[in-house]
Amino acid sequence: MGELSPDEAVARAALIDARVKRAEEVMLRLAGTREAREATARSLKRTARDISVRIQRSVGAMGITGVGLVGYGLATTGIVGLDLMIAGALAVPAVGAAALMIPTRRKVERPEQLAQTPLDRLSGAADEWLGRVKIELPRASWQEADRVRSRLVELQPLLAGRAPGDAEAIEARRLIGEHLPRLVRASLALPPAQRGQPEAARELNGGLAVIGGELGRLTETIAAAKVDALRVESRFLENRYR
Amino acid sequence: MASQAPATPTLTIDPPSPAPIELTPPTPVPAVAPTQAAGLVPISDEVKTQLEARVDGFIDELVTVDANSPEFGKKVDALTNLGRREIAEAANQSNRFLDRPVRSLNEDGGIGANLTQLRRTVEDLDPSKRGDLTARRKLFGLVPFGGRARQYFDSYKSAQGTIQSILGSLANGKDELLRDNAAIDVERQNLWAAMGKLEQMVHVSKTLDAKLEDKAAELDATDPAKATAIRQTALFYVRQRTQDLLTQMAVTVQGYLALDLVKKNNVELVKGVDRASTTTVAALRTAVTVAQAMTNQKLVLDQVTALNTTTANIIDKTGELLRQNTARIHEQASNAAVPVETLKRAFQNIYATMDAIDTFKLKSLESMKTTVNTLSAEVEKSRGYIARAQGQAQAAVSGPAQDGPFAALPQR
Repeated sequence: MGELSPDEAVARAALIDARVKRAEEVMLRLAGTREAREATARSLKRTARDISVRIQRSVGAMGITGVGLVGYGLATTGIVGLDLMIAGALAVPAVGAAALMIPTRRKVERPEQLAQTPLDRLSGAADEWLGRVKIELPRASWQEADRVRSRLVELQPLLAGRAPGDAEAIEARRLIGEHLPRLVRASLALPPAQRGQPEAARELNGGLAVIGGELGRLTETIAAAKVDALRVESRFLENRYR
Repeated sequence: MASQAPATPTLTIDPPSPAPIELTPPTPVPAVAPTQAAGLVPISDEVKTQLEARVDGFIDELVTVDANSPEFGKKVDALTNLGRREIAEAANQSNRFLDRPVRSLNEDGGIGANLTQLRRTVEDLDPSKRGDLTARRKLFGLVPFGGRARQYFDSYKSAQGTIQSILGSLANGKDELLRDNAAIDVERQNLWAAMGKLEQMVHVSKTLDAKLEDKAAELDATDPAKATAIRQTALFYVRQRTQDLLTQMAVTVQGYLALDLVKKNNVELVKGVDRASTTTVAALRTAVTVAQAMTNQKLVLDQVTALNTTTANIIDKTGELLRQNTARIHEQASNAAVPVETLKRAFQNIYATMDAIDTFKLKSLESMKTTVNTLSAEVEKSRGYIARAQGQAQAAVSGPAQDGPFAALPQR
């Protein structure tokens, strides 16, 4: 390989950078936006957690039923008879299946339920709900919806443990519990054919963008208060010891 | 402190404090009229030019659209929301700063209670309340029986634990005041930023006012219908918003000043706590020396050493007091007649400090109350505007324009 002059080296490096950037862009387009990928990862994680909880419950319930039947047999007749074995063979899988069916947490099915969801779970529940109704929204709004969802996830830990009466909590409840469901409901109220029209999608996108922006601002406000608390501590230490 | 004292640090008598402590109660914050409120925070010329360019752009667009079209209505709506975010931000903080002076009225980190307790404990030890310490006690008034002085100094041993714990609590209370002041510093920085943004919006609304007025006059000849529309809608809303912005500005400025008042109040209280601790430790150390001089017995106050360390931590600026005139006092202590007088004076210093704190607190309470009342009245006045602004915010949430054409710029 021949020696490169500095200018050539710079030019080649720039070319390589540009190619890498393009490749990244293509990959990003294929994989959807970052928000969309994160949302998928979140719902996969949730499903996995859900399944694992159900299996644990099911195994536990079957174990208890089996032990209970054996115990009953031993206590009453001293042996585990055929009848008990048949009963066990029928009851244990039935109990296991029933335990699998029990939902692990209360899902928000209707948007009105969001208004009653406790603040600690509000943001997460809204994220989950929006993820489920997203398919019914116009495709052109999915990206904006994903953005709102990622804002909801960012906000979730900051809302936990806040007094329901403080200004930020009230604002969060208003945005997530009222404005967001109303907006989505208004879009879903349109006939499917009209819902996908550019005009309708644009209105929905506009509304979602406002909500996303406000959620971001709310997150910033709460985070800024935490930064202030840190500033107070460090300032106190400076005044106290210097 | 100990390292700078002579060879036996606990055996020095401390001087009467050179000057009586003066704690200055802060003066109450006067009501700030909306007309005085603007112009307190400077806006750079660069920012002003940018804001004015936006105003010009907005007016140009407003003039081009039909006065009856929805676009015209939309533009006018943007004016009704002018500075909404800036007002909301400042108002949000004003709720917090109103809380602070009220809180400082009610609690002082337990300092008041601790000082009362300290005074009670110290009064029990006061030599001037124990009669003649040099007299000898007599059993049934006949048989000589120990010395009064010895019995008196014994009482120190039982009191030292109490005093130590009170001084510890005072130190904690002082820390709370200092932390409060650190929080005030941060809040004032935030308020300053909020006032800067309000100031920008006031500038925008005043510029809008002047330029809309000019434009309407200009249009009177060519397009009288539009001129009327501008006067009746755009100009009307702009003037209303100017009033809202100035009202919020007045409240914020007043809150800013009130926070300074609380801070000064805290600083004075900290001084008081320092001095109370210093004078108390000085009295105890004097007692140790005097006990040796009078009874020729070493009064062992184990915790005095600990107290010295504690107070050395409490006192940073008034610490020199303890070191002044040590030589002179040494001289006085060696003179047999003086010791009790010296001790009495040491106690007088404690009382003087506590009286000064009491007087200060009474006066500062008045200042604080006046300030809180004025501030509450102003905040109450601005609440109406804030409610209106919030109503508009609710109406605007479904609209696409978030900040409208105007928003405060980051100040450099």
